[in-house]
Amino acid sequence: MVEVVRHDIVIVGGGGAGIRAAIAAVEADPKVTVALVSKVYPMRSHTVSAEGGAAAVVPGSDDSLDKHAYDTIKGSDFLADQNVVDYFVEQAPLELTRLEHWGCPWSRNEDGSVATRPFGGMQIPRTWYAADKVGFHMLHTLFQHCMRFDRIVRYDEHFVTKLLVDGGAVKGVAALDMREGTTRVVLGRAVILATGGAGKCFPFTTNGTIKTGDGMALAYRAGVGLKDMEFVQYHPTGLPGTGILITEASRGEGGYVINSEGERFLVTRDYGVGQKAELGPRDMISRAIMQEISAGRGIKGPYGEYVQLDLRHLGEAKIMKRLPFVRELSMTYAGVDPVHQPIPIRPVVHYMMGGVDTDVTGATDLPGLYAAGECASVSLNGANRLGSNSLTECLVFGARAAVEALKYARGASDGNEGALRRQGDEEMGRIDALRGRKKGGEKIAQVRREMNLAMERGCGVYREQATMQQTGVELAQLKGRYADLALEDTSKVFNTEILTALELGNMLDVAETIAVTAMARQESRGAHACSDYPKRNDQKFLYHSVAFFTPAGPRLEKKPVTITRFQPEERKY
Amino acid sequence: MGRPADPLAMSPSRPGRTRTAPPVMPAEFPAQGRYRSYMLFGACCVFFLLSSLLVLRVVDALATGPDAWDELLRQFRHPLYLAYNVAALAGFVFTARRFLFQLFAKSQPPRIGPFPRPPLAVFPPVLGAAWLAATALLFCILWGAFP
Amino acid sequence: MSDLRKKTFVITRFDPDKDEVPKTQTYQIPVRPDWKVLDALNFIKDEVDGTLSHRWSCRMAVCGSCGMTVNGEPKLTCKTALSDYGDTVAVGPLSNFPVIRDLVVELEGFMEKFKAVKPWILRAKEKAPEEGVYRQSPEQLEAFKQFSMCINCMLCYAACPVVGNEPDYLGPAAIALGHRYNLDSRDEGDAERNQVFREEGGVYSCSYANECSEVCPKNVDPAAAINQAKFLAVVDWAKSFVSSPPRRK
Repeated sequence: MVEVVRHDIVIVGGGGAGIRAAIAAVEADPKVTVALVSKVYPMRSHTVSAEGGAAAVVPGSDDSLDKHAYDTIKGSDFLADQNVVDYFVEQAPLELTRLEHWGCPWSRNEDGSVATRPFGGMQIPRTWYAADKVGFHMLHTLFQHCMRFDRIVRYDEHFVTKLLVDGGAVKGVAALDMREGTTRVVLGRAVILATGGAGKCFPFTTNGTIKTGDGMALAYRAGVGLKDMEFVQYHPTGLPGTGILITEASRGEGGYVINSEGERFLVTRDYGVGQKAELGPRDMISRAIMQEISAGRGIKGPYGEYVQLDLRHLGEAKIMKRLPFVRELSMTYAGVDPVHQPIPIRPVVHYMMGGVDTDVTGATDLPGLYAAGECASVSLNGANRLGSNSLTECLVFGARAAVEALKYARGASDGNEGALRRQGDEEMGRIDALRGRKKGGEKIAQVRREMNLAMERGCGVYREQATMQQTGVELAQLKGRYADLALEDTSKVFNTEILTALELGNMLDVAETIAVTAMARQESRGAHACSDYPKRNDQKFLYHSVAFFTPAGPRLEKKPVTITRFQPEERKY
Repeated sequence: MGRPADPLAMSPSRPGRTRTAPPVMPAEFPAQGRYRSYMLFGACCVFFLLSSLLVLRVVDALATGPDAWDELLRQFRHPLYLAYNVAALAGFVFTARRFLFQLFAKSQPPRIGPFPRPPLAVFPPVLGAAWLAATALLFCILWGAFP
Repeated sequence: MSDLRKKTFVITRFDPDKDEVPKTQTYQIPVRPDWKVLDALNFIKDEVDGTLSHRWSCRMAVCGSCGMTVNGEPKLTCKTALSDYGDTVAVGPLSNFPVIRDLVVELEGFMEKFKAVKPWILRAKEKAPEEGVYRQSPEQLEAFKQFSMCINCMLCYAACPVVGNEPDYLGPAAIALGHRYNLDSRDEGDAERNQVFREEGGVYSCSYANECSEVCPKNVDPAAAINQAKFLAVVDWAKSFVSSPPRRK
């Protein structure tokens, strides 16, 4: 029998968006209690690894909301919903200021005001930063601030396995309590998904092991569409092999990207980034690097070919002041001291522009279900995200989704507790049957590896119709093989094997939507670069692709892009 | 594996929902690695206690009169007292070195009243110089340089 | 995998449903020269023994999940190179913590200590976001910056001899975090936090082992924070006889 607990709203995921949503909810209404359900302790959420900065127009500077909006929309290759962008740029400075009030140690100018640094695709420096560990400082500030509120009740190390729907609306979640190995039903009249992206579908990613697209899969299986899944951002500067992120800020502070001949190819050759050079948008730089490697100007290494990021000319003092973490990472994980040697780098999967389809308020089509942060597609980032927009996105839309979810929850019913409890019991039975199921011919790690390779082949920086098709076929086969997994660990207490198996199931669902929508988009736009269709085609493809679950595979629909002020134009820098 | 720690070490106020294995002390505790230095540092408190008692004897003798003082000095020439003094000196030097030179600098708050703390590198030479000066002064006094 | 050599891993295992006490289990696996200890653990879990439970996430030494005891010392396994060790590597859960399962320890005790130091900005009067940020000079930021770098990995708790002997002791990371807020120019909660610091199990339980700072992977130097806090808490106590009770929200 499952244990049932009840709160006003339930938030799944305890990263930047999740914690911000929880704080917004308890501040908006002094009587509500919020369940914050996270599969890890919140300070482990992957927000912690973000390095570069968070963007917002600095009040009183010669920057403007319009410029930030234009940069974001152009960066998105005109696929962003412009009403969403307008709301975002307006709220951004308030959110970052709020974070500062809560103790976030933003780096400062001499006069005590918040410092900013240049970032890719931004015409004016508006990226607030905290040395080069902004995600760490933001997450810890949020987490420590949320500890003030006893009405935020945390369910740490609880893995949500199912959204509970009653009467056509979401009424709570079923979560596997990692400690005891039982299922707990956490009821709330609204549920906000803030579970992050799905980089672990790919073999080389900046993402940590927890980024397995759980919330996206939960929504997808409940009938909600996943929007723009084909747009996967490859961050140009990750370490080969581990995929560890070397922040864009290293380019913002003046770093050079060079090929095997020591040439600054972003300047000397025409890759569409113009004067911006290393500070062009991420999709263009990733493509430029892959082209250099294809042309034989990459350097061979044990984990494939790479190019280099040269910071030597910045000098030790500047590196230690602005990029100390980059230096530490290079030395620990690449064996290279950037003061004296260039850092090996190559594009690695970093961020999902796509996600759970929501509108500007964070609401999905399923009543009671909201989403915010990387797991959602609002859509702020369209076909390509500008660096430093996503941390601010978590704050802005985490807060908005919470406010909207609360409004909805006030008028919503609790649902039939008996029916919800039964759903929870079924879920517990399903997991108990899977746990330690020794019969089966497949290993988790093997299926996962093959999924990774299929995604690398078909949904890389450059995509081809033929390989995307092949990847789709392989993924369908892997889903079949997933049903035949053999598991060894029969224990209930802190069984991480079953967690890994359930995460793999989520990743396979999400990966399938990526492959299928990528194949359907027969153009190149933003991060989706199709060799068969190298140009952007606004006549036929200026829409959001939305993938819906069917047992036979994703069914695709189209959704119009909200274009208000900035008409699509050629994207040149 | 280390020795058992306090059974409630790092335990939450309400017992965990599943049975846990009891906490163990760090593997090298108490007499290996850097813990050895820590235990010796702590053990030196014995010298402080005993030497404080000796100081009381000295004060008492001084107060009683010259005969008592001479008697005390005669007793202090016993080999056991001399051995104790050598050991105590070693203990004090060890304690002072560990406390003054390893911990004192970083224990300083960033501002002392209106004044910012001097850079950490300044502390060891200044402390060393002060120590030598105090030693030299006491040496001179005991040697009878100041009648 | 021709350039691979084999290493032996002696791993502490514990399943509360099956084991009375923790025991060790030995695995011999091929390892790559550039692997960290975490890579070996993941290989064992993926390929050899799916029943091994351990926590990890970012693998870049910033999330703090993967703290374990490696050959007797608390380490971040994602940052610790296998090449630092010989043919046999012993991996166990962090010392001083109750063990939930295998390499996974109880963190709720820490969460309570963490919350006890009130790690948030305490002010009498707060600004609205529309009014802009609080001004803070680079020097003011430097004053507490170092102590804000803690990733909550708890290696310091595993190394501290007092933590193992005194269950009430707040511990290095919690005190360093409280001290970080005390030093933050935007915070006005010193008096309240110093009261917590002066209580049983507060800063005066520290007996100068300095192990916390020795093992900290992020150079937070919690020993400095604790000892600075000792001084400042006393100053605060003396001041409390002269001035009125602390002002706060």
